[in-house]
Amino acid sequence: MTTMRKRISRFIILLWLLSSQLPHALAQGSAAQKVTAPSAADEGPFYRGTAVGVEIAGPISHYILGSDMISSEIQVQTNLKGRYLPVVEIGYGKADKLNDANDLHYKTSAPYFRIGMDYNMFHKKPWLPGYLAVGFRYGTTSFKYDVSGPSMTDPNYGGHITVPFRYEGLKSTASWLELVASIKVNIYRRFHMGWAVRYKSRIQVKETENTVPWYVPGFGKNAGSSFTLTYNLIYNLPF
Amino acid sequence: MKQLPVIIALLGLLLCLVPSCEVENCPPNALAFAHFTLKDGNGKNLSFAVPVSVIGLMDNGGTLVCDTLINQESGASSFSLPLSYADKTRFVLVYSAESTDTITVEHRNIPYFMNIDCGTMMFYEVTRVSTTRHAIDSIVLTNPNIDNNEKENFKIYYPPVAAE
Repeated sequence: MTTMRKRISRFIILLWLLSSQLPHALAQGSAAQKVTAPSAADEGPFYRGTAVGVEIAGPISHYILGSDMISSEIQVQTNLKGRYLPVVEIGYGKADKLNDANDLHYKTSAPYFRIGMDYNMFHKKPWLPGYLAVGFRYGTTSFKYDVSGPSMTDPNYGGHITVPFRYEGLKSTASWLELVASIKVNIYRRFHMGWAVRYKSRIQVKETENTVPWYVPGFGKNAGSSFTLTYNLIYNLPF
Repeated sequence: MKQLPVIIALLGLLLCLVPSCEVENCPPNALAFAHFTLKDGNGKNLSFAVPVSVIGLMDNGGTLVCDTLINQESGASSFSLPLSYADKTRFVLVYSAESTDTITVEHRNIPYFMNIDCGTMMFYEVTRVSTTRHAIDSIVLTNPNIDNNEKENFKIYYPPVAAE
């Protein structure tokens, strides 16, 4: 119960941090609305620029809120006709967790890769300072992990035999799909911020005979599905 | 931009779901037992008519360690027994002071980790099983994998008279 409260608190704080920047962004947006004339959605060039984003919610969660896991990524997204937004995300996920209750220790760190596309739901309103997009991602990673814990003692037969529990350098691969709902808002000139809620659905995680990976870089805790929040600072490249 | 508050509210609602998705999924039973069912020669279920005890035996480097696992239980048509952390466990079925059977199970031990919040478990793979034939007719290994899923691993066949 305490763990649950701690998690809820973390997300509330995180949400507050993100929301606190919204009024400023909307103010910027209103100003932009006055100077930019509405235009037909499908007019204009096919290629409309590329944006580079850095995810910072993971590092904030790790360094400020004290999470045992950290994950951050760089996102490169292209704008085609203001509507289709193909995206590539390359990140790095790390977990170093010691459970004080049972002295089990899990450690992993590895890069991950996602590819997918968003669809700009506001493509008919290009004069707006931001937009809502929905999309999908296919994510994959290849990683090694260590699991260790106290020696196991036979609960029967007098407890005479103990077996060490230490597995290092276990190799695994994982893949998953994500449904993404995101918002991107202009904050200053070419700078934007964007945040997204991602529903992740596991496709496969390779297990060994002795272990199931507990944390998968890029996916998070190993479960059938999960929700995560990402927050990006984005720069629209001038080409 | 009228939709933005609605969108933010929807995103907030989704965020509220996040903690509920992170409930730890520890199995209710972290212990692995070998499951035996009793059968007659025709494959029909049997149950012990007399009270039966089961004693587990493990050879620990020349020292025999015994553990009473079932004490004078009657009417059982199946039972679950823990294997030892050695590579061989024997189960002595005591029908009476004069009548016993010994089932020998050779196994490979598999320490198992599935979640940092759930602890470790010991699973087993049975590599060989044999039995004496005082009352037992035969034993069949139906599933060599012994884990925390409660499923049958062995069928013990008795002549109808011996068990009923």
